[in-house]
Amino acid sequence: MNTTAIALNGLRKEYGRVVAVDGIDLDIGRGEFVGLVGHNGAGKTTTIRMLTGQLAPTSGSVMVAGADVVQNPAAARAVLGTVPEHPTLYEYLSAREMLEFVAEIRGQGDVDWALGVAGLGADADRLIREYSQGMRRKTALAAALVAKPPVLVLDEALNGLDPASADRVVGVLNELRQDGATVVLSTHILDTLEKVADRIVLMENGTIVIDGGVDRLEAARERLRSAD
Amino acid sequence: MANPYIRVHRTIARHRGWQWYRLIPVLAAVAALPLVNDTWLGFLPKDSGVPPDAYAMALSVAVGRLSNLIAAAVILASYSALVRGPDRAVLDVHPIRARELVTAIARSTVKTQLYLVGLAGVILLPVAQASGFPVYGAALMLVVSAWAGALGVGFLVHLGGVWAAYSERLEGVLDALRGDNPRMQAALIYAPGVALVMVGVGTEFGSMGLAAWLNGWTLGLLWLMIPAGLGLAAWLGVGSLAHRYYVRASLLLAEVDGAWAHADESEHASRVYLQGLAGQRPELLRALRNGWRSHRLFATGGWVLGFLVLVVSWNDPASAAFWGAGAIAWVSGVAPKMASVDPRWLDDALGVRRSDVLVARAVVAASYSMGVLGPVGVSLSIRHGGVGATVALGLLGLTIVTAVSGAWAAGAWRRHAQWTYSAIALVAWAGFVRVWG
Repeated sequence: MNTTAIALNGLRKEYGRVVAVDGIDLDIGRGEFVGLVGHNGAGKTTTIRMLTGQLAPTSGSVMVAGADVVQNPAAARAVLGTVPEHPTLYEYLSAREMLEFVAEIRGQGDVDWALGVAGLGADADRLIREYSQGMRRKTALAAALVAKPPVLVLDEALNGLDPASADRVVGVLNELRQDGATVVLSTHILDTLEKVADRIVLMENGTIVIDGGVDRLEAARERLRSAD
Repeated sequence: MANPYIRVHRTIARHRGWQWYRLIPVLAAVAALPLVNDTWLGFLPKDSGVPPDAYAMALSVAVGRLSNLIAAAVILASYSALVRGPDRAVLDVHPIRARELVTAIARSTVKTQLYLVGLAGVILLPVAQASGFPVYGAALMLVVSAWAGALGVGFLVHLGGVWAAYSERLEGVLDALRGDNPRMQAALIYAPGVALVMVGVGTEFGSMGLAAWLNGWTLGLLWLMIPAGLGLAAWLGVGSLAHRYYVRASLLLAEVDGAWAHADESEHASRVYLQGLAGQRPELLRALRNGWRSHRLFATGGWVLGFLVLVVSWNDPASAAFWGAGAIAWVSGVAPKMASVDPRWLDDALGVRRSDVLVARAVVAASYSMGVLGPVGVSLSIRHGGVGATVALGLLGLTIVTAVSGAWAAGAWRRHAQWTYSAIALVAWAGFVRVWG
């Protein structure tokens, strides 16, 4: 049985002469919780956008659960739950309607559970256009989680969440991981990763400079600090 | 209802409520019609006893032009809905059933563009008065046929544009056409033009059919349906293209936007069109950047329209007034468009004076209109002397009126500014044609 959930092979992205991601290789196993860290501009978001099929690589390939995200985006999207850096939602739906819709197009989903995880229960029937930025981010997170997809890729998904909500979300991600889901979480909050991550990947200038267990977290922290 | 996308669009429409502002252009057309009627349909007889075959050719040409204008609006709307629409941004991270989604988008586009049929119905009312309802109905049928044809052809060609962008065989052609744009964007830029040519050919046949019917050939009525038939045939291919290219369009757009973001970082591209006008006025610099980076179609389209008007009105100052004024009214629409992506909270947070923003948007709109006014004004003055120069001066006055009213609408109405401005522009254009045409 293939135990690789995500495989990045020689992944490279160029914009003219600017190299945003410089030929990275990364294998992430099923059930792994990976913290993707790095300064702004290190290449995290570009990597995540290629990983989730929102951006085509200049060269290299991305496989998610055995499906090439460029050649077979439908198969890749079916197993991916994604929170992009700037999530977009239907402004004239309520969070509940949005999640019901996502559950329907994904063929399954537990709307009440996802609303509870995101802490949106009391506001679930208000229109999203009335939401604060934090509530919108919670809705996007709930939409990524609602069908409990086997691979979760979350770009700064904890930004804008209050500490209690962030703790609750991290707890749920940890539970999903224990049930076999793969989680890639891009974040600036390294303390969060210390509690749940199996593996830390630090990016700098489009390359991976640290890839190891949480015991490498202090080295990553030091490297980020020295780069400031 | 099996299609989840249609159901969600319905829910959105229910929450959004009735979009009353879409009636504004129709009401404006009612107000503008008496002003423009003598120029627009001046060939219609005052005496209803005159048989239609006496003015069949003029009527069919006028209705054909109106049909093409309506088709152009629908094609642009289909581009906005299909390629850059809200569904794509929301659904890019979810699995989609492309055929069903595109069907839902088409259905929404039909609903949002229905007002154009109402608009055409109003504009053609003098035909009913002069020639009776059968002739009016036939003229309106051609417009509706072009409207429907533009929907089908628009969807097909925009999806085909994605295919073209990825096609290795077309690389050379796209490189030749793209100018300063990223190669892959060239296919999207020219797709609306290709669609309009296709519908335009159908409309031309429909127009000939209308003339033939007015001259007594009954089967000419069937020809009116040629654009719609074209649209139906195109629609049959949409499902297959949607399946293959709807998702790939997202990758294409990400590539194009990424290329522009990179280009904007370079020293050369950091300067925008007419930046020298800004001087030390930061509001004007912001408006020029916003206009060029988000709405450059108005800047480049202004020049294209300017030279087109020059060609079609070389021998006729009245024609220059009619078409030139229309082009200027359209270009000044950049001001309300700018408001849609320029958040008010930013102005409030920065303590920017609203009057400065208004003036900046008006200056941008007026500057972009020079693309029309330049070629048309110069040709009028050279070709027709004093009479031409007078029309050119009138066009300059209209430029100021539409630029200021566009900027005012942008500040006062924000979300609905485009609709309010379209009403003002329509009346201003009609008034201008009444006086100068």
